[in-house]
Amino acid sequence: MNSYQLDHLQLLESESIHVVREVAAEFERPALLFSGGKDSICLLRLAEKAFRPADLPLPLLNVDTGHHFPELNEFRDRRARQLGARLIVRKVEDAMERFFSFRDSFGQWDTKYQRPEIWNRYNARVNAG
Amino acid sequence: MPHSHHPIEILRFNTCGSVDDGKSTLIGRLLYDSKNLMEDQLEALERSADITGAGAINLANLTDGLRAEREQGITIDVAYRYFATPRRKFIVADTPGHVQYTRNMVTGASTANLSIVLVDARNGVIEQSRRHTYLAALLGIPHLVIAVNKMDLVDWNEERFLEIRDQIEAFLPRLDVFKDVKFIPISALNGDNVVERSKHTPWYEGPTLLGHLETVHIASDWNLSAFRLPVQWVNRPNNPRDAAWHDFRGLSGQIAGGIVKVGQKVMVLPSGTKSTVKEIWTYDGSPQEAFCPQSVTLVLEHDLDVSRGDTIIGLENLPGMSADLHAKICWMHQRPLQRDRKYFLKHTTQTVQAIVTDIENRINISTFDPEPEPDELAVNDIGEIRLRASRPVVFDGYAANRLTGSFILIEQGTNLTVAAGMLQPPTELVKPEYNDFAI
Repeated sequence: MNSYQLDHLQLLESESIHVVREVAAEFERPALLFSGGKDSICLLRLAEKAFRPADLPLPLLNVDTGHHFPELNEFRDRRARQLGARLIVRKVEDAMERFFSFRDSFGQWDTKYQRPEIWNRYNARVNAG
Repeated sequence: MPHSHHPIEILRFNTCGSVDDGKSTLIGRLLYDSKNLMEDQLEALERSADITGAGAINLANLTDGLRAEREQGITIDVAYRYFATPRRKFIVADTPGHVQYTRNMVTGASTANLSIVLVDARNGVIEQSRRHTYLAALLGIPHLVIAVNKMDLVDWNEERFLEIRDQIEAFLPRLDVFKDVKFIPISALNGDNVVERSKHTPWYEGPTLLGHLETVHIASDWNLSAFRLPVQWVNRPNNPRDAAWHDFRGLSGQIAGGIVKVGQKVMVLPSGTKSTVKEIWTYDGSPQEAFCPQSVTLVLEHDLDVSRGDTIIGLENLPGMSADLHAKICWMHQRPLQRDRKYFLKHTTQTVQAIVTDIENRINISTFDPEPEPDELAVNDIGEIRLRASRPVVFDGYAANRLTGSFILIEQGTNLTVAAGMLQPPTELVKPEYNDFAI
């Protein structure tokens, strides 16, 4: 066994950083969903790993369900401030099994014909409208 | 990040077989015997086994049930399933259904280390077995397992097993890409040689299927010989809160091949400008070297004009660079591929326009024979084409590097992904003295 080898977490982390950078580079108005929960705390750390030492090139988007504990909103605001990130808070909506899923101009999602995701080549071209 | 002891690796694999070859049963068996099911899934399974009275657990229902649960009425091209043993983590690409089989299998196989081709011991090697093996070879999957299933239905007959092995071995040389090929006699239904060694095969001395999945050598599946960093992102802190970063200029990307070291000479393509690696920056510190497939940020000695889509390479084992490309493709869309049509071509981190200048052949994936000069390639067809790109592409042959040797084609107007492409090796390599006068 040689030493040029990643363990499972290092491999997944490296792939995740690749995906986060692709999103920032290819989409017009990307945002990072941040609920304040453990998954998005992890995602936020991955974004830091992708873009440091610069600031995050995409804003944090928090969906306020109206049922948040005040501590959660406090944590959310504090974390965004610490990172110098822009925070957008909006009210409610809802994803699956792939990196990118596209909506048409009516906001509809055609689940029957999704783009195949091959190797790590993601087609991020968004149709007009 | 070298390790003193065995790191837990991830093995990605896919399973291919015709309907009723026992694909779902095999996946169910792996999940069940390796004790990777949630308690509620187990309870439901055991309850249904009691109700049917047969006492045996229906493993195919388990896999198909998980799939239905995941799909929730929508069509999923590839469902990924996860399980683990103390030695490895596994990601199974489960390609459901028979519709769009080639397209879905190509998607599931594109990132796989290993492919399991199921052969029904009663039916032996059929056209499908050849097709599945061909596709695994086309996608450059390094490790192949031929699982001869339903051995219980041929009385665990060694001769039958050897006959099937000989039939496969007869055509393997024509595919010539696998690092290793393993033939394993199994019964997915009864669990023989899947996780537990079978008492019915005293004549078989090889590993069980899971034993092989746990130990097959995958550390060298990544290309570690030719340094390639497709630039994804230029990292330039604009108004850094810490003045120390004021002049920082990093080139970020996931290393697509080879090893890079601080102090190493590198070249940026297509410009051909050269510099030296000053620092390998990561959030967790600055290592002296980094390797494929790590995501890193390189700082060079010179402030070169580099942008997303450029490729940073080492000066040994040079790539090809050309606007004329020769590739095998799998066509994935109902609207066929035609000559003279223009597409977007996404290769590593750059997207260029490309015109299909020639469709050289369509490959009959049952006989592996090329049919020359077809008018078009239809959905699920494999063929060899030539393309002319609007800008030169820095690439390697797919056999040498799956990341720098692959691309997708995107239809203009609809933005749909319509093909997966695997590049042939370059006929000419970039010269080390290319653009020596730059900087």
